[in-house]
Amino acid sequence: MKLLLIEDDQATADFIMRGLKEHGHTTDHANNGLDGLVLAQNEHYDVFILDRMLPKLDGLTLLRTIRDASNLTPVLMLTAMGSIEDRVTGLTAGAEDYLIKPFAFAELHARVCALARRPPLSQAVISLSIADLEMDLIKRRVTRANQIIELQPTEFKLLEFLLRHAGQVVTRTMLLEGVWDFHFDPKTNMVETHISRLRTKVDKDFDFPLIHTIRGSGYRIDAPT
Amino acid sequence: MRLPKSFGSATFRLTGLYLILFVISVSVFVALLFIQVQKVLEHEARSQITIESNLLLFEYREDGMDELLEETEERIEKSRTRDRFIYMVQNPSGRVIFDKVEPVNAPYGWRQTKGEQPTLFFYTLLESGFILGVGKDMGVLATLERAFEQTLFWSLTLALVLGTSGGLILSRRTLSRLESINRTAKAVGAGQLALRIPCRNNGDELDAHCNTLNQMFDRIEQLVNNVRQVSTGIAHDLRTPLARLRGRLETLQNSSLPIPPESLEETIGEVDKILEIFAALLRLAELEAGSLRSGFCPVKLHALIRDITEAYQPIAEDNGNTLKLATVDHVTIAGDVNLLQQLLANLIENALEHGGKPSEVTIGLQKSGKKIVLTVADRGPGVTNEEHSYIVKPFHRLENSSGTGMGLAMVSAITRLHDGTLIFVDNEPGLRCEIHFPATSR
Repeated sequence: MKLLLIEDDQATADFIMRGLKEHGHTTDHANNGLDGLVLAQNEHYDVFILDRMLPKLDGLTLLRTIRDASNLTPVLMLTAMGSIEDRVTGLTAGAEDYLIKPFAFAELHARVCALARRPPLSQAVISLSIADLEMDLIKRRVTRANQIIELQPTEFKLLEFLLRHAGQVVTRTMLLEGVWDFHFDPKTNMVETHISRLRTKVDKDFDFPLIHTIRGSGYRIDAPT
Repeated sequence: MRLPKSFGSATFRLTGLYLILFVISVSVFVALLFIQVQKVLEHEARSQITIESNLLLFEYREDGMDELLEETEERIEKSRTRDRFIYMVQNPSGRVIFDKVEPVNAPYGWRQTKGEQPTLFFYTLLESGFILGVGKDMGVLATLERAFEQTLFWSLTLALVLGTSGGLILSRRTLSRLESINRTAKAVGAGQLALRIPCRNNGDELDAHCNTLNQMFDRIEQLVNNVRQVSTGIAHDLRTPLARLRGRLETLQNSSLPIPPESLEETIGEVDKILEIFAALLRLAELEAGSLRSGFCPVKLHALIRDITEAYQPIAEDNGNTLKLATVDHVTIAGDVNLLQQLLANLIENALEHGGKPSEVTIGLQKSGKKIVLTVADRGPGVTNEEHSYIVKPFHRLENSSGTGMGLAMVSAITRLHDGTLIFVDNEPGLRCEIHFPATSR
């Protein structure tokens, strides 16, 4: 993927670029808002990673400018201002996702990948599948190797979220937000407990596992290679 | 700022203005009354004169000039004693036969004279060429005018004296109360946060003002105390994990062996814990500021309870605890979904952790009349009454707690943001947390 990182703090930028390079992505870097705007408007990128507070032109204005110019490249906004109000203004200005500093690189990477492959909203999906697992979104029925699997509503939502991001790492936070709509971090191991229950139903009695734990990052649903 | 002296005070100016208005209205009233009384008296005199004059003219037409003269003379004699009418007869050559008045010329009819002795006369020219005049002494009008003038003068003087002194007294009293407000506000501003303005509780505007200010002082004191508490908390609580972190890093630095991944993971865990405390503090500050109210939407509390209970059910079960729903009424309040979720999650997590082993947690939502009560109750060891007031303070932790000490502080702040009250009740045994929301906040 080709990414544009607009971030004025050199240490943060280096840390992000090094990580992205290790995962095989090409990243251009601008250290102020104006240079970022020029690059964003003249080159093609898959995702913009945009810091909110920037010299010369702040992140929110930059975002509004490119959206006004009909540039629909997905934007992941980074910020040290983590209040709910800040998040809402960022999202209404046109950012697809929001990440609060400090963050783990795995979180950033997972979110960037999710953004790059986000399907157009108009595309209605009626079924999801991976390997021998099938999910019918209309009948709300799940089968694996033609055997019906009974799932609780939450388990169904969790599996659906994983399937919609099949092949990608989804982090704990992404699951909390996407499945439960929790925008805070519960003390308990809620995600782990629900994933473990889901595994018992989806993976335990079958030949190969589909749900994989990615150490230190999150989970991924994937067919065996 | 010094308060102005009595004469320049707002109360005194108001009294002065009122006094001027009073003087003007009283003067206008007295003048109108005088004019009206004068008119009535004059009208009365005119009709009396007309009647008297007509009587004499009747005599004249019946019995001739001689009878008229005789009758008039007779009436003059009577009127001297009774002081009623003045009569005059003037012969055709212009000489006044009687009484002692000046001769008149045409045109005849009504004549009014002013001066020392004001009079009102009606003159008639008779066929014989004589002139008959009937009049009245109008001295009563002058007396009346003087009486009105005097009344006006004395009442206005009295009003001015009473008004000025009353205004002074009133403004002194107001000023002294304002001075006490001013003094207290200054002292509070200088740091004596516990001071309050003395209220008289008589329900007037100044009292209402004092109460509002006192409420403001209460809030300021509370906020300042919170800040103090939090900064002390930061100093104590963040030092511990930071010191641990430093120790760990130092060990890693001095170790000649390759760094094992677990110890790196543990170190990151330490940092995350510190970050979590910071995030909680920031969120708490945001809640205390109260600005989030602008984003309130209708929230279905029953649906929210159901979702969260469902999310926590497996966790409770896996640890051998029970989480169950009591009565859940359908209730919609104005609020912030995310914050209400967090409130409930924090209460449930607390109850599951501290509610005994195994714990039994019950969640309920009841609406009765004007009260909406959300309950999270456990059957654990509970919390003593003395502890109730400080378990909601930031950084307060129970023994063996795994949390940051922010959970209940957050619950308390979210409750306040939603105009609710957080109450702890003994569940015999256990702790019952009740959140009372006002039913009107829709």
